[in-house]
Amino acid sequence: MKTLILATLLRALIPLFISFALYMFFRGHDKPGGGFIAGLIASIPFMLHAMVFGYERTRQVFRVKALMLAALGLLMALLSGFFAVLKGEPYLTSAWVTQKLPLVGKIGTPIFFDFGVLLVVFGVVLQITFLLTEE
Amino acid sequence: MTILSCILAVIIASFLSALFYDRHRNIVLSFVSLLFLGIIAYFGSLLGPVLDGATIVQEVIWVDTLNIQLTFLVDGLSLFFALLVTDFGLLIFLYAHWYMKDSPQINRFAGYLLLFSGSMLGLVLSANLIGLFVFWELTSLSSFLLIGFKHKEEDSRRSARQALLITVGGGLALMAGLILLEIATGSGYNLTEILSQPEVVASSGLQSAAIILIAVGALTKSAQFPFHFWLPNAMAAPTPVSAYLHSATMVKAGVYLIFRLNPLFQEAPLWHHLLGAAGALTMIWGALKAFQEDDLKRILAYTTISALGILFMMIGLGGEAAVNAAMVYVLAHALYKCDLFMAAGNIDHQTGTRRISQLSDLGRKMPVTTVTVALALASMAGVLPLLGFVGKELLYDALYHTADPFAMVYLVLLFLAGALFTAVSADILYNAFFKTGKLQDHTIREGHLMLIFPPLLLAAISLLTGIAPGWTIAPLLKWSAASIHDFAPSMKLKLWHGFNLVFLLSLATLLTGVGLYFLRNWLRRARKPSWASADFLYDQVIAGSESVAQYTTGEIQNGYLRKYIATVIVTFSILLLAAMVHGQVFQSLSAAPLLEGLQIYELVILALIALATGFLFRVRSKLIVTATFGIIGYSIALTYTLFSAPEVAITQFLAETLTLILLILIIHRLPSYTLETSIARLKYLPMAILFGAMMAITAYVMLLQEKNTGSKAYFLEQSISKGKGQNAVNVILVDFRALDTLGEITVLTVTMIGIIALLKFKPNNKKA
Repeated sequence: MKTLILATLLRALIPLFISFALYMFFRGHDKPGGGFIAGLIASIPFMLHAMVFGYERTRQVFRVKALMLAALGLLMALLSGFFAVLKGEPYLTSAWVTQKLPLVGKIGTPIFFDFGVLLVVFGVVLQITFLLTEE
Repeated sequence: MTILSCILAVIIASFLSALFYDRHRNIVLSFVSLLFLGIIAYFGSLLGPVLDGATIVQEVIWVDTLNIQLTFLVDGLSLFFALLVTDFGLLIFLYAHWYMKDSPQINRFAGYLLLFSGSMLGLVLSANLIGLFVFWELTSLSSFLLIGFKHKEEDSRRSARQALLITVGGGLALMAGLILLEIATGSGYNLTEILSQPEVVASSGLQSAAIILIAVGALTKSAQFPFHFWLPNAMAAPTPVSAYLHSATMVKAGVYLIFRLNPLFQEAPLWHHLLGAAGALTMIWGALKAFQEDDLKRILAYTTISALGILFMMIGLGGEAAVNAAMVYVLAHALYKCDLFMAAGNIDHQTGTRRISQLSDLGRKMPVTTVTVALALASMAGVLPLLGFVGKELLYDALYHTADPFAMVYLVLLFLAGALFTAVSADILYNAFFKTGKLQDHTIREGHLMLIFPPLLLAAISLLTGIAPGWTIAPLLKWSAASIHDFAPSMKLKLWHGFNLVFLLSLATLLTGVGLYFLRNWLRRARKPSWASADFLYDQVIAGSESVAQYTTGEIQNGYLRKYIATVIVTFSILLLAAMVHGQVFQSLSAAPLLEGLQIYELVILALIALATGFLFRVRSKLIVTATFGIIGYSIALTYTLFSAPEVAITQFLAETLTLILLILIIHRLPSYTLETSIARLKYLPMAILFGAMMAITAYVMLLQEKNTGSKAYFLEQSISKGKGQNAVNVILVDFRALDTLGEITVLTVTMIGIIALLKFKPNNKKA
């Protein structure tokens, strides 16, 4: 499926989609968004890329293994809960930094958890796409 | 905390060994040895207080909300078993280090062995029934790994599977039994508390059921009739494993359990009759089978079953003398059985065979092993002055001085079993070691020092404790026995009780045994038909369940995706319907609020969905079907936005888009769209309507519920104050119900792995 328009556009689309995904991710705590949605959004340009250029090219552009991303995300979500255990609270109890940081806003363990969700969704969707486009 | 640390240290050491043992053998060996020595020293230091009659309880908060704590108890019994597990564990690890030197995957072996030690240690120290059960299952699991260690051999795999099925099946029964105890007493699974109220259990009406279930657990673990057959097969494991499993651990776990729970059930006749009968039967049967075997390890396996039968029988008998005798016999058996297995391993290692009929002349070729085996066999047969003799005297004494009506039967059977033990010992000793025969290989000699030292040490201990039982083992065993009956601790052990009736019995046993040895040709011919063997029955049961599984799988997993979906949907809908009828949901339903304030644009979307759905029935092209599904999906997403659920709407939009892209990616690869005839397709209509109706009603009921409970307001408020976020949906996902989300992303990852397996490993690549 070689389309010139899409092929040209993709160059711009990838960073755009990723920034948009990050935006959706960070606003997720207060407004519609969050890790799951962000993960889906981030995966869209790479899916398009795989459709246009084929699996081999996408894998070169992508560099990391999608499977590893998913595993990393799961690990991150898993570990974020242990902070509470160290403090003697039940697993996955959220903990927050009291000071607000500029730009990012509130920082707490749920953000790591949510980022884990993002990575898992991102990794899984891409892995499936790659498998389907692969010969 | 200290006890938990000990157990955890062993389990951590198991993982470290699994990682590093093959590359840094000596470092890991020293580390593990030091660890075991440290743990032994710790338990040694507890000897002082325990011998003064103290019990030590350590509690670690575990699942506080369910009032289940990780409690450990050190009293005479658990200390005795803990010392057995750790001392033998160290010795076995050292022995295995040299024995398994050249075997592949040695690191895995070391890991399994340590995991097993750690679980066993946890089991004998747990004072919480849940903790005890968890460790119980861990021992089953790790012994499965050990038995199946040579996993490339069909035989090993079968034995491991069999051991797992039997012991885990028994574990299930045990769990049910333990839960019954909890229901009866309501003491938060606290062992000490439960043991202190036998009368509550007795009057609860659950006692008989609890006894039967717990007994099944113990009988399976200890390979007692009718679950005896897995143990002889388990000798497919490497020899160090057999030595450990048969002496101080695994099969002793069942014994430990009945010891531990004896105070609770000792007033119940069922407890005594059940254990007594199973024990006595196993004892005589095992001894007989042992005498018929030719393979050294199989012989030893059957004598183990028989010896465990003796222990079960003694608990079945009950009373102070019986318990004391059983306790001494536990130690005597552990000592002689462990060194016999190690010696058998050495013989196998050096000569390449374990069959007595192929062995001879070992007396001259392997002198140290000969001494070891002679001592151990003497202990097994009950010859003066070894510990086995002391044990046997106590057994006879307990059976002779009791009012139990079955005691005479037990006594006669024990006499016969003892005689068979003697005959087996004579057979091994004469034919393998002193007969001059075929084995004329001059290269056969003793193995490495570390292979012959551990069994020799154990044999020496058998001798030493036999000569002076009073001051070597009596103090601890006294308290150990006191833990399981209500008499004041008293145990007077000595080697020589005088020339009395019991001694005469002991002597007669030996003489009968020698007599039986000469009848061996006749005894060995007496074999029962193969269909009566439990192993055969086990195979039948397994084959039967396999064919049932094959039939149901063939019916349900028929390869048509539409049928899978239909099965899932219909089952789910019917269950939901049943629940709704049962919960009287329909009575309270009314459609009136639904139609209130219905807007025209909502009707338009509804019409769009209905039209698209109807259209689906007529389409025959994959591409159009996909597009039509898109219409339905986006329309649904649109309704979400109308009812101010932007979060869900975005997700739905994205999911629709991605599904579409994925479908387009694979659309040319899908098999041709085989349609059933229009008439045949009609059968899906009621299914679809049923499922749709169920989902709609569920959603509607949830909506009504929400108004009553006010959960919406609650979450909106809580997510700002506690979750520090205004998007309640997201706060629930990543904070309040984060554990659920964690489960979901785990499932997602697992699904992906499944997809990889499905797409990557095609059947035609099988050979690669």
